[in-house]
Amino acid sequence: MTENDDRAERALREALSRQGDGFVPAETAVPTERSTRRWRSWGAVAAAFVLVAGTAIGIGLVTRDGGGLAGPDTGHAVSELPLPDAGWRYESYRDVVVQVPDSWGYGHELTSAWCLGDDGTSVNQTPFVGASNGYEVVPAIACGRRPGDVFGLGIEGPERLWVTNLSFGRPEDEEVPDGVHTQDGWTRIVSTVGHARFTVLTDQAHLADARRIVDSATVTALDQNGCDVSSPIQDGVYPRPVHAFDLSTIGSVGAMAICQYSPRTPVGEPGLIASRLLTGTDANAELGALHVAKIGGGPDTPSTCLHSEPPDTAIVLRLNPGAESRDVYVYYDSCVHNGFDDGTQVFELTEDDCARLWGERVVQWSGSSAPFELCHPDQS
Amino acid sequence: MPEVTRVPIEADGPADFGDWVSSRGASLQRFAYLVSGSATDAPDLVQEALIGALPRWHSLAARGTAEAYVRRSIVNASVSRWRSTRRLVTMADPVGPSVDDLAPRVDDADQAWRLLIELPPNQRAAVVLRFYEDLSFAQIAVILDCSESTARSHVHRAITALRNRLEEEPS
Repeated sequence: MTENDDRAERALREALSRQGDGFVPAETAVPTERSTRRWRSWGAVAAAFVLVAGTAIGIGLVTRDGGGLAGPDTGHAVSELPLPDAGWRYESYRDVVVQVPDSWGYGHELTSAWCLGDDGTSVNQTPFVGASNGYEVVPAIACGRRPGDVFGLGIEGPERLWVTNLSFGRPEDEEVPDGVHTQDGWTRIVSTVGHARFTVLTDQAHLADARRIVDSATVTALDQNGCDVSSPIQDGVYPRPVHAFDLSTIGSVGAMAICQYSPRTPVGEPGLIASRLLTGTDANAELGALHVAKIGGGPDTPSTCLHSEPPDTAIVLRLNPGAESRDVYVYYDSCVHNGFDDGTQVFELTEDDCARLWGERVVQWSGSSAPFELCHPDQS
Repeated sequence: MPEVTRVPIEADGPADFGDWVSSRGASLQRFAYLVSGSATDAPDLVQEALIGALPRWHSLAARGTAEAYVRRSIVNASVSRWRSTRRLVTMADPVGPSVDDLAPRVDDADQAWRLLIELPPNQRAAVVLRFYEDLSFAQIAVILDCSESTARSHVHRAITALRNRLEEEPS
């Protein structure tokens, strides 16, 4: 450092000292949840405006005789979350939402069984959001990590199969502490917010996006699709909807939120593991399929499982989220109680009413074979 | 390449959000003022950053990263404001004797402040954190979400720019 560098440094210190010490701070108000909600509510207003002015998700229940349960189809925001940034979307897990680039698809993270029946061609090639949601059946085989796991990143599989991705997990299941680890061009960011833990594995090209994803994490009670982060469906073994109604009287809907929960999470704790939204034609096609499904539920194969165990996952099909909604409970992964339950009657699972439920991060990763074959005809 | 682990800026501090804001509010506003150069914007920048921190407070407090998070939010917001306003056309100075011709001779610190308010917010923030807060480059890198070498570069470029200006005047 030269003499003039010293002079410059002294000048900078003196300038900052004069300005900083001469600045008189105003009183700093302590934000509250209420002030945060008020701030968010502008986002909700903006969202509602866009929905009305643009391609409206016409959310409103209309009875089959033409009468409206929720009035005219005026359009409602399904959530009070602010609109995501341009080119980004929300993903939710438990009580937290994060924003991810719209260009990221969905896929499955590499597991310890990454080598089973995979020549690498089916592995994601572009950045993705993991769909295992902390729950995945993994064959009991260890294919190995990079020799010696010299990265120390704890990521399964060889580096040639690594693709930038975001995955979700439960903090109580993870031994990896929060933090940022970088080595040889790969960075793993682990962050816990609320009841959710996020892990982003990223290459250098997507590092800025990765940090933006983690920084966007926000605790919420209602996710972007109108799903409560905790649901009465988590209560015990195959509960029925709290507010019964007659599904056959609903003539059309504006949207349906597919909210998937872990019933093994105690009621009151966030059990939401994934969600997606059906709108317009898709939502009404699902409603139409339910209207023609037989009453009585099923298919069940009662002799093949314990009846006292809750299912691994279950779905709340929320008709008309964000307004005067109705909840249908959907059970599909056990040998009993399968079907769509509106609290009044139980409708059977069919290929037409069940297959449409799956997509994005809403996946079925275990289940009895009879309902699975109906719900996943492409995999049977 | 060695493993890089983020260093918490402040491992200790009040666990209650309100207590933390009360104890850190003035310092954060001072930081916001020095980074933005605007006494008017400083309280708003801090308030926006605190609103962003509230929903994740428990996690930030547990990890001891609240200070870094809020300061980074202030810098990011300052960068956004700077980007949105820097294209504003400034009015030409009136013709006549310059202020320098009339005012007493400015000292090095005055020159330094003039330079600082011309710097982009990220670079200015690095200088503030280094020479006002006396943080290490590793700590600056955490707050600015950049590499340590980038933090060094920000500060070094500011020193070089000021040195060149000062060399035009005798010490």
